[in-house]
This record gives sequence, structure tokens and C-alpha cells, in this order.
Amino acid sequence: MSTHAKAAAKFLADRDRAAWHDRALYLVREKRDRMAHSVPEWETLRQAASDIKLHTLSHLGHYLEQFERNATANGMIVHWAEDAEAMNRIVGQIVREHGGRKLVKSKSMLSEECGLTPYLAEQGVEAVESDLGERIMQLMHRPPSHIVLPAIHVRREEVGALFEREMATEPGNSDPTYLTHAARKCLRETFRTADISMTGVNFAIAAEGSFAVCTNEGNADLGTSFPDLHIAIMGLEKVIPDYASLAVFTRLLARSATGQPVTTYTSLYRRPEPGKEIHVVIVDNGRTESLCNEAHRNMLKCLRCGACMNTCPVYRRSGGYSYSYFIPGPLGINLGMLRSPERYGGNVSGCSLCYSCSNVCPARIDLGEQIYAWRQEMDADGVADPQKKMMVKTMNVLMRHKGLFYTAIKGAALAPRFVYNNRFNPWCAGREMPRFARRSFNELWKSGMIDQPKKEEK
Amino acid sequence: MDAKQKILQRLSQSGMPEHPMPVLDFEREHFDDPVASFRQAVEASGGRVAEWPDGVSGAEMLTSLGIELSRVVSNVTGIPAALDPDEVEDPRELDGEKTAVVEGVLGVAENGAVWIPQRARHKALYFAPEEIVVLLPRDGIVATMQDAVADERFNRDFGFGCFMSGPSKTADIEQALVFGAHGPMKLTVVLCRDAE
Ligand code: SF4
Repeated sequence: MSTHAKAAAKFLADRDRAAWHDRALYLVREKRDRMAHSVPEWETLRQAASDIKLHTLSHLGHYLEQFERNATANGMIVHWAEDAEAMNRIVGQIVREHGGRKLVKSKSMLSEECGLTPYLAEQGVEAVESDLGERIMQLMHRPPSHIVLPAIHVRREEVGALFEREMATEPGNSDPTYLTHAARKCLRETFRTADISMTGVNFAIAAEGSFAVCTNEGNADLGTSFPDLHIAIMGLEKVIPDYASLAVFTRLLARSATGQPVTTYTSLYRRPEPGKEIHVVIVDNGRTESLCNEAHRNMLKCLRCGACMNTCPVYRRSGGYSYSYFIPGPLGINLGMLRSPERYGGNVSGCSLCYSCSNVCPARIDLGEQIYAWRQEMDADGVADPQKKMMVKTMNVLMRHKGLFYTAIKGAALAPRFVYNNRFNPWCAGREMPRFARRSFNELWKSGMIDQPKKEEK
Repeated sequence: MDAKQKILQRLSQSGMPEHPMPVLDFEREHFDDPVASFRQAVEASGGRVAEWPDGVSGAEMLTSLGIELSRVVSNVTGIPAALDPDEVEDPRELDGEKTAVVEGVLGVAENGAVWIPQRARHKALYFAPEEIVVLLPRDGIVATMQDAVADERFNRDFGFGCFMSGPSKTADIEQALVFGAHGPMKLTVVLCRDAE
């Protein structure tokens, strides 16, 4: 069994929770569908997004330098980091020079990727997550299970119990409005007392030297409103040419992510307020290597909207923690493989090859096709699952030889059911084997027992 | 070689074929009544839309919206403010039971967002108060985000600016929608006479 299947079995042990998780995400997907269908030029927008990203990726050096030049002229300070360690070191250095012990953070998958929060903790700097879902996960000491909906797998009663412990809310009260407003009050204190703010970057606009941060809660905006230091970290693929491109992406992002026509706040940072500083750290950490990978460089077009997760039948029914890479779903399977096939190869089987992800991706990334390609590559590298390989080989022989095939079918129909419908057959976990018909279709057809469609009379 | 040089060198060796920048001249969503669509979109995002009738004073207009004048923080001419946000040294003083009254420039019919470039000393003005009122000239309403950034009133020389649609919200607890996550709990867009 793959690492994914094993972990999924654990998630599926709680059947109610698994069914609820599946439903909750499907609702998000349905909202996305309604939004997509309400925009007449939706498919044109997706194509445009894909083309803009491909264009930018093919001139990435040019656009990054242009962004740096313009951002610097606007008064920001730009840094370059080759890998996770370098990013953490640079952030640590900025914090040290500025002074301060409390950093308020808005959601950033890059900081997760680089392990920034534990690094800062070692330096004696506390990083507090301010997005509600991220904060819930931070207080639970667990990673997010979805890139846009970090606490999608957590039930309201669990949040109630957590907040009762951490924020002294009323015992037994798990009303989402009550809990959200309790967190608002509590985090407001953090916002007021933080010395440093940190955000991710959704889009860095090369021609203007500005960058966009998109949230619904306003946590990034409030976070950057009080302290005099703002550190923004970005993967180098986040750069786009201009505002015309930004407009295309903002029309797609929230519709794809949560089924809203736009995020509540699409904030553009261009010039620090007098007496304040904005630092932007541009991070590579393996991205240039992915760009060299012709078969898989498409992954760098990703906007991190999460639509591929919400639509994925495997993700919805196995949960974010069933994947061994920190990003789950079709996106995570692919990014994990780009990071290390040896470490994350166990995820590629978590895909039914339905290709729904490829059809919803606003940047038209061929996620499903790439997972298929990884499976072929894994076989060539000799890391494919031996049990599955054996099965496929047997099927291959069986299907190529008519006589053998029909004998096998006959045998199966005559054999007592327990021979194949048992717990040693992995296919039977959570489902019943279908019954084999007494007589095959082929047999029925040949003996004339199937009505032939009548020829039309002229 | 420093990090930047190394990254740029690796990028130049990516072997990625040249892709042209697409021409973004495709037909965009059209609205027969952009103001009505804008109003709908703002309401769908949890905000409300009001009008500022001619001949009505700022104080009367705000009072008719149920806003207590003693809470008003604003630097907009014609708005009676209890507090001038630009007189405040520490942006934290803008936090609390206050109503910010600010100016928006463009409204987007497809999603109810209002483009608000920073026109105050502290950007905290737009996020820290509990309530925000955005004054928007009626003729500032455009169809889509693409129309907004192409509009000449979208002046690129800002320090900070925000496309804001509705009050702050979250659905992080069991996907139940709750207004007032961290930013303002309430948002009103007041449509004003066309800008001169
Ligand atoms: S791969 Fe596509 S669908 Fe998935 S998160 Fe990225 S942009 Fe969204």
C-alpha cells in the first residue's frame, strides 16, 4: 500500500467526519462552478492567465530584475534568497537589525515550505498567525490541511474546546460567529502589540514595483497597519508583467478559490509610509530547477487558489494529512514530485486520473496529465509499486489472450464469491466486488439472446 | 557570485522556449445597468449601498445611515468628523468603535469592489475602525477589474491602495460565513454626485 493509501485509511476510519469533509469541500466546488459559469469569457480568461504566466516564466529573469528596479525606486528593499535556509537567514537578519520579539503573520505557504516560524522561534521571535484558520491550526500545533482553507477538517466543537482553553471563551459554545469574534478580540491585541508584520505576496507587478496581497479577513492589511516594519516573502514565480495582467488574475483567483467574485481585500503595496520599511524577499528554493524541467515546468503557473483540491474526489475523501508533502491534493502531488520523487512518490497513487483538476485550474495547468507522466517516469526510475506492477502485468497477459480471458471470466462466475470478495483483496476495502454474470455478454450476444436494433424500414 | 546573480544565471539556462505576451483584447462581460450590478455585488458581499442626495449635508446623510457623528473619523471635506485621522501620531488610536469615512475612486460592477487609494497619513484608517463608509462618485462605476485598471482615474502613483469589496469576512470555522474577522464589520458605499 502506498503512503497515501495508508494515511487515507486512518482518515476514513471516522466515516462521519470523512463524509462531512467530502460534502463541505464539494459545496465550495459548486460555488466555484456557479461563479465560473456566470462569467461569459471564463475560458478566455483561463487561457489568458495561462499565456501570461508562460510568457512571464520564459522571461523570468527580466521581470524579476524589472520588479526589483521599480520596487527599489519606490523605496522598498529587495532581497534574493537561493533556498529556504537563505530566506530564513535574511528574515532573521532584518528582524535583528530592526529589533522586536513579536511578529504578526498573514498566511503564506512559502513560510510553511521554508519552516520560517520554528526558525524564528529559535531566535526568540514569536510569529503569530493572524488568518483565523491558520491561527486555529497553530494553536492545535498541526499544519494546515488545505492551502486556502487551513482548518477545513476541524469541527466547530473542536474549535470551541480549543478557544475555551486558549482564549477563555464560554464552555460549550461552538457558534462560529461567537468564536470568530472572540478570536478577533484576542488577535486585535496581537496586532496592536506586534513589532513586525509579515505577509506573503500573491502577485508582484514588475512594471510598477508594487505587489498585491489578497485576503478576505483583512488580517494582512491590519497586520501591516501598525508596526513600522513589513517583510513580504515571495516565490520567484509570483512576478507578473503589469496591472492588465493583475486584472485577469484577480478575476479568476477568488472565483476559483472560494466561489466569491473577488477577495474582500486586494491590497496593493507600492511605497512604504514615511518612517516605515517594506522588505521583499524573492525566494528560489528549487523553483529554477523546476523551470528547467520541461515536462513539469507548468507547475510554476500556479496561483495557489486551491480549486484542484476542492474538486479532487481523492482529496475530498482522504483529507489533507493523507499526503506526505505539506501541500496536498493534485497540486501537492506534483510539487512533491518536483521536490523529491524518493520522498514523496507515495502520493502519486492518490489520483484516479479523472482530470477534473486540469479542467478547473484557472491557469490551465495540466495537473492530472502530469501525475500520469510522473507514474511513467517512476516506472522508468524503478520506484513504482511492485504489487501494482505485477497486477498490471497479469492483466496485460489476460487481456491479450482471448482464450485465457474467457476461461478466467467463466471461472470467476462459477467460483464461490468469497474467493474474490474477501479482506485479502485490497479492492474490497470499503466496497463490495460486483457479482460476475453467469453468462458473459459475448456469450449472450452470440446465442442471439440480445435484441438487435431493427433496421429502419424505408 | 551573490544569490541574485546565481538565480538569474540559472533562469537564463532554463531552456524554456519563448512565449509571447498575449494580447488581452477579448470581449469582456457587459452590464446593461452597471450601477445596479454594482449594487447587487456589494450587497452579495455583505455591504450596503446608499445614495447621497443633492442638497443634503454630510451630517444629515451620515445620520440617515444610522451613524453616530461622535464616532466619525475622516479627513474628507464636507464630512463632519469627530477625529481627524491625520492629526493622530500613533495609528493604533484609529482602532476601536469608530466609523471611517473615506473616498473611493472606482467601483467594479462585476464584483462590488471599490478602488480606494490611500489618502490619509495612516493606512490603518481603512482597516482598524469597526465600520467604514466609502464615498464613490456614481460615474466611477466600471464593468470589470480589467476596465478598472485601464481607467485613467486609476492613478498609478499611490503609496498603498486597496480594492475593497464588502466588510471583512471569514468562513474558517466549518465554512460558516461570519462578518467582521479582522477588518471593519460593516461597509457602506455611498454613491455621490459625479466627480467634477
Ligand atoms: S494548480 Fe491550478 S487549481 Fe491548483 S491551486 Fe494552483 S492555480 Fe489553483
